[in-house]
Amino acid sequence: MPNQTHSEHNWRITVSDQAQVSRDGLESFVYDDKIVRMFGWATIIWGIVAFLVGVIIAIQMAFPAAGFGIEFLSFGRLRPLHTNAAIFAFAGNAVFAGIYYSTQRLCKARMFSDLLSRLHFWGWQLIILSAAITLPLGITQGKEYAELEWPIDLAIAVVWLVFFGGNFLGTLIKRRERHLYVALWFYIATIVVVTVLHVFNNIWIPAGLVHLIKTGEFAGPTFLMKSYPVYAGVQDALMQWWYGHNAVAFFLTTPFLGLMYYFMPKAAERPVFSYKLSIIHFWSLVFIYIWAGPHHLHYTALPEWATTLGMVFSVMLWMPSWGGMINGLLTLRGAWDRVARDPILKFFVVGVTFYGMSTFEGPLLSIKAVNSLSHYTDWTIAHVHSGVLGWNGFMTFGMLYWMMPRLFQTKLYSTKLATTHFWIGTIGMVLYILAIYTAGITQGLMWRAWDETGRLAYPDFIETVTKLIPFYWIRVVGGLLYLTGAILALYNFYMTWRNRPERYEETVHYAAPLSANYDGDPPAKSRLTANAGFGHAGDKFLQGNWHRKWERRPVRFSIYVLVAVSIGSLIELLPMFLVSSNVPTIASVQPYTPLELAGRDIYIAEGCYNCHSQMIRPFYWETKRYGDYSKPGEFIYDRPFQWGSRRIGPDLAREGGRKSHLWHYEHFKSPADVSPGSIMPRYPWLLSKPINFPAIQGRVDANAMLGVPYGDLVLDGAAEEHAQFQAATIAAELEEQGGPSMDQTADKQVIALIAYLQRLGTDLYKEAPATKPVTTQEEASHATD
Amino acid sequence: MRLTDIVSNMDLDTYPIIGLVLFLVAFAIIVWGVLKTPKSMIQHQAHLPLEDDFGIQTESTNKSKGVSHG
Repeated sequence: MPNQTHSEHNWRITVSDQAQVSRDGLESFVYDDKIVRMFGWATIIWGIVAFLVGVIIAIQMAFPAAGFGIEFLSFGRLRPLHTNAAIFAFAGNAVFAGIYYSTQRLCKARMFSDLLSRLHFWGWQLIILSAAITLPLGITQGKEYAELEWPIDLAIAVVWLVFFGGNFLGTLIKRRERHLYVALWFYIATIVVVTVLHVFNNIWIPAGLVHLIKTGEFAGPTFLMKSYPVYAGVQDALMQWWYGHNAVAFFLTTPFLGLMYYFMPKAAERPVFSYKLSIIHFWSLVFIYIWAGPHHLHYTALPEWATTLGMVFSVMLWMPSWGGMINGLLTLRGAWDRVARDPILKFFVVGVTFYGMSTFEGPLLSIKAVNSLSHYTDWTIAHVHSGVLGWNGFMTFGMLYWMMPRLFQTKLYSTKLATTHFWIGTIGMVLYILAIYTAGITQGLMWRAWDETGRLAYPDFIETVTKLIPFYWIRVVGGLLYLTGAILALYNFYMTWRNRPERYEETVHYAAPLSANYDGDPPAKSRLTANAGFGHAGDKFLQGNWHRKWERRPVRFSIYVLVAVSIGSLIELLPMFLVSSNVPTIASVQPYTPLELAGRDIYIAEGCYNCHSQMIRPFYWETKRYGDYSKPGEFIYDRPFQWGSRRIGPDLAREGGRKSHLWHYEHFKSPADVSPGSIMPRYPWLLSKPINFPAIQGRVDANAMLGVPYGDLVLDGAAEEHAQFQAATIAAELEEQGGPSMDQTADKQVIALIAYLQRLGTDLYKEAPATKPVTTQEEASHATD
Repeated sequence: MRLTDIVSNMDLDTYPIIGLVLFLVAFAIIVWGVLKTPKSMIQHQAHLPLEDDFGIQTESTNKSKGVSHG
């Protein structure tokens, strides 16, 4: 064809190139399906665990006695286990199963290293197991979706980047298909960006380890795991939600889009509706998503410009997201009749529809006016569950039902059972989401309602809680249905597995290796005549050969993705860290005392941030209920920040001095006796477990290392002595108020926690200390130099 | 002079606009690149998931050494 374009010519060369090599000898290879089977099993098993823990904590919210006063079963400790299990164990293993299956086939190559595949699998399961042990023990960083402590963080970095990333990149490099299919781009973005997010959000001082090395004193295994982030307050909040939002983007969205672009065409037996749209979808998402994080912090102490930037980019995100959804659904063009009888397509259609709903709702919730109503309410929880149960869950089940019978080399045990799973799951999900949407909006409206005299219509927070209990029961039913569906899937896969052949048949594939000197893309030639140099350069650029070259070079492609996300991250984060005026400090705000610091760490360990915020927004109804709105300078010693993201209980930012020590003591013992109708769990162990006084010096020293001006309290034993004195004082006051004898309470954890709660939000109204105040965060950081 | 001082004295009012412009430029370039990709190449790329076993020779074996169940 004399008039064919360069690219058409190139493609033909590719084909003839392979044909040529086939005469000279092809390379043979066998796909590693065993690793896919392993990740597939892990997905469904961990999924059931995640859903079961979800049901348990859902029951606890409707019926708090279901915690039985056992510390390992308390809501604050189990909720992080539920979220981590759902995200990293269920969705994570699903992503790995899908990636290992599709990457080998799209690359026409076995995974780069079987050893790395196995290290990845077992390493990841060990990390999940570590989470399942440490979180109920109260070992946590206290940052949502980044709760796991530093030794596990290090393990994640090695398993994710070295074992998984190295293995994946190695496979791309030794592939036998020249073009990288768009699903592989989404996987590349996932690996690159999750690495960046994980590393930057987990920069900490391992307080226990430093204490052990410095003093030779072992202050217990829990303290050995303790760390403090290098960021504090507002900066920590921005970093955390830059991470938190993009973890949703690059752990729960981009890899699943990759799976969608691979498995939906496979299941529908037709190519994706528009490959061009998928390319635009990819780059738009990668570029825009990274900017959107600050929308989680509207009306907080974060500067206004940062949240506006987050909002604008969140709204922009709607367009590529819906482009992707439409692309997914239209892939089924001409195959809609099959949706009626094929449960796999049913799962995919509903999964992609939920992607569309979630990505419409996300931008909606990022709009400040909407966010003022939705934030801290159950609306956010409904939004998250429509994403995880609908999008991630149903895409996973669709993928597993398609993949597992092929991996077991037999037919699915029961299509009818799979269809039943689909309907049970759908009904459960709809029940859950509708109930919690209603609960969230009810909650938000009740918080802000006032009467004709300008007073809050529901001044007692408990009123806004008891109103929601019926919805919480509906959620339990919805969750149980979804869990039942997953158990049916496990049974179906188990029975399918039992029907496997005695030995799995291995198919040997043959393909030509890629030529090292590929010349399929000769440099573009200018089509212009009599133009200046830049005209020719421009014409070559416009021919688009550069993008097609990118698409064949995985290492460079990864670097370009890194550049795309770095631009957004740097523009968003750097001013926050470098402009002093963004965090105006307050002279009267002083560091926590050693005992308060220990109490704060108990607050974190118990996961109090899962139910209580510490951030009063500048709204009439919030200041009326909780007190003066929160200022950025109030949080400069908060490592980690504890603003929270929901209010199952009231905000605690100005809790200090509001109630007596005795009220708090009795409240921890039995909340419902003090506040009838309260759904807070009982904390009897706080009344009996001793404060770890030897560890207090280590806590103070670690904070001092991070720039907190602790002065003489860093001297050997000074912090511990100070803490014991303050504990005795509070215990004596508690006794005076009618509480137990101070001999029984002075060394108990509840005293440290009361010390912390009584301090919250009080510095704002104190006199600045007589000594020269620390006036900027920078000076604070140099105060101990 | 520290980096903090330099950034503190910068006028950041236009910062979000710079971000937006950067995105729009990148977006326009990508869209242009995509639109210029020849149809035959796009079709080849779009069909890759359906060609796991096409364009390569395969043979099924139930080899005596086989593979253990996993």
